[in-house]
Amino acid sequence: MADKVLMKGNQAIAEAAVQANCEFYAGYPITPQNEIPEYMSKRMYDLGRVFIQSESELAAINMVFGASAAGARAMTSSSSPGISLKQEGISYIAAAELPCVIVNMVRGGPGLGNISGAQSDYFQSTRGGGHGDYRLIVLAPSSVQEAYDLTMNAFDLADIYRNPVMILGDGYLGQMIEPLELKEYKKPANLPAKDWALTGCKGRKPHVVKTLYLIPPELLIKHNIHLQEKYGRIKKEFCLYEEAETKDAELIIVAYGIAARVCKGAVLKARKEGIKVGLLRPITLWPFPEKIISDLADKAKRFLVVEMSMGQMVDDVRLAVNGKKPVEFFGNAGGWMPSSDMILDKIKELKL
Amino acid sequence: MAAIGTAEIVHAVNRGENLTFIFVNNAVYGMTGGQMAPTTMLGQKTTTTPYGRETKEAGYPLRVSEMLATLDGACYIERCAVNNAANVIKTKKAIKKAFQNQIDKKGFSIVEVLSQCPTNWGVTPIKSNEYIEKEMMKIFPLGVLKDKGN
Repeated sequence: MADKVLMKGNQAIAEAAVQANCEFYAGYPITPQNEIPEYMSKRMYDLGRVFIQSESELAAINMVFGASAAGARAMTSSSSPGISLKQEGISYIAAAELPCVIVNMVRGGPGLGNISGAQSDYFQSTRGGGHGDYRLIVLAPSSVQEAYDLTMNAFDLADIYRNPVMILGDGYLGQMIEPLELKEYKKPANLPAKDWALTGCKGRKPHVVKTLYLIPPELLIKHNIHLQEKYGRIKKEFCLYEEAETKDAELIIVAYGIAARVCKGAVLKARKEGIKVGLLRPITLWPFPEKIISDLADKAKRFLVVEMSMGQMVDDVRLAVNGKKPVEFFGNAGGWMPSSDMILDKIKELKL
Repeated sequence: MAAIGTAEIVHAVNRGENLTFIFVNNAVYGMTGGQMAPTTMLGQKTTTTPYGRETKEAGYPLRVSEMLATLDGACYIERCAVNNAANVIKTKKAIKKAFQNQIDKKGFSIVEVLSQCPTNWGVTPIKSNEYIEKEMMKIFPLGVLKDKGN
């Protein structure tokens, strides 16, 4: 039985990275994720691994690019405005098919916004974020324990698919303290060898890690088709979600992360009053659990999407429901957080 | 301006933009909770240098004002401090001069101000004034580094 400790979400993510043999961390301070670099500055130093406080977010993501190209398990973390700055590097890493973990503890935007938790980076995360046709695997934990567990998975997924993986949390999750079981990292058996890494080519053919495909033009078309095939494979093989009380539900609430936890409370309250409502919580935001939502749309009467944004994931829910049932939205931005009673009122307002 | 804005400040100075820049140097990132800054002193403990800043991992305290003073586009650069009343008066004069340069369209002025951060340094305000005097001024000496405005 593993130890239970009290930890902040940010610290849990940092410790999970350490456990998952992250060898390289680079980051630049920004609230509300500072506990990650602070924790890493001590833990990585003590273990003789690399911690670098870079001069900027651009530097940090490009350091991760380099470390990953050299075969190291690498991570960076930031919060919304800092993640925007990293987008050029993220596009390059995706193009070069390098594994890495990027943590975004989302805060209110746009611009510098504020330092409250928010969910307004959904579009940026699930559509790639930078230039070009690429996708990140996006994992959205809703508790400190899940943040810990998913961070470990993130490193494995990154290595298996040679793709950047994003942990999409928010300021509340990062600052929240909860009991945490410090599970041991178990290396999966199917981790591929990094036979592409730049480790010195003495005695072998050089490996090439690149993102520029100028001549002939067909090369870049071919590379994009190859990337799309990989994203298709990921979509086929991997999708996580949680269902609660959905079996006989007439109303399905779809929410992720911290908002989903509040919604779960509202669902349980509504059930006590005999209202047939259930919750679907996407854990992977990309790949998006579209099949289960489509299946639920055959049975349920209506959907309610709750987000701490002005409505972003709701687009994906509407695509998955595909006009079969009405999809309502309830949300607000700028650090707004719903209470379970607010959600309950909304459920009643929809008059099932 | 010593980290995330280094590229931009160099080129703003190099173009001789008509701006006044007040650079508060308290050797940490105070607003985000006391992480290491490029101007953190060697050996100084911060939340991201828990064992004290070491050159191997984190390099040296960066003297941005000296660096920018080498640029032809710079008009006036002075380093001041606010650790005692006399230095506060000097700082006010320097800032006034910088703004006057800007009004007179003389170009880029920078006033670097060595400042306290007792909260993140974990010392009393009095001790933080002593730290500026005894430690910071050794690495960041006060004085006019450039003045072509006269």
